[in-house]
Amino acid sequence: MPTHVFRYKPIQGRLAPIITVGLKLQENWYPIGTYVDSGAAYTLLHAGIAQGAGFNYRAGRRTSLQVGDGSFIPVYLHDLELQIGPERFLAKVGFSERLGVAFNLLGRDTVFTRFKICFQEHQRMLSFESEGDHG
Amino acid sequence: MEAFVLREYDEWLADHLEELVRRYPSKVVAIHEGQVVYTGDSEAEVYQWVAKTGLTPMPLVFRIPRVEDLDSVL
Repeated sequence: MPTHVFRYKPIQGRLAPIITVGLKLQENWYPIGTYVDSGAAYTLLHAGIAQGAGFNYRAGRRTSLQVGDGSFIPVYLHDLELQIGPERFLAKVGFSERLGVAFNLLGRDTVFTRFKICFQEHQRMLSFESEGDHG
Repeated sequence: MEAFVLREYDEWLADHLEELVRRYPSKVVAIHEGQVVYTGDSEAEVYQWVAKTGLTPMPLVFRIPRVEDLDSVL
């Protein structure tokens, strides 16, 4: 199965599992940096991305997600196309004005079932192995 | 989008993120053809600039973290 390998990104001597993925909004593809986060149920993005792209993110399904400090943030969920390496697929993607972290988060929905993800921090790389035919 | 474009942006980020964290903490930057071409305070502001320029391929717009942001991931 195809495997896509990414380097960890160094931040003042610490390593972060940040990868660049593609996001399709309306008819345009946008490269975005995302922190791979198994603790996030969905891929969560700063609302400013949608605002800048002219995408009406508030038309999505509104839900609330609990974050690390125990509070809940409003998130608007959409089914959008993502791209990792050459592979494109639909995933639930949420936009929030109150993400509370600097990073966009690449969460579990679809991503963690489509790929076997291996965090190899010692080797400073993480790999996404396609889990097979997803139709 | 072309996979090689994503790959090039990802490699560039791996090579330069340390420098970006020093120079542009908490800013949102647009990266294109191996350099920072714009900085702003929000993704919306930067994408609006990108739309005006019509740059291709689409620049990578990235919010530069601070090291303490690593401790606040969900």
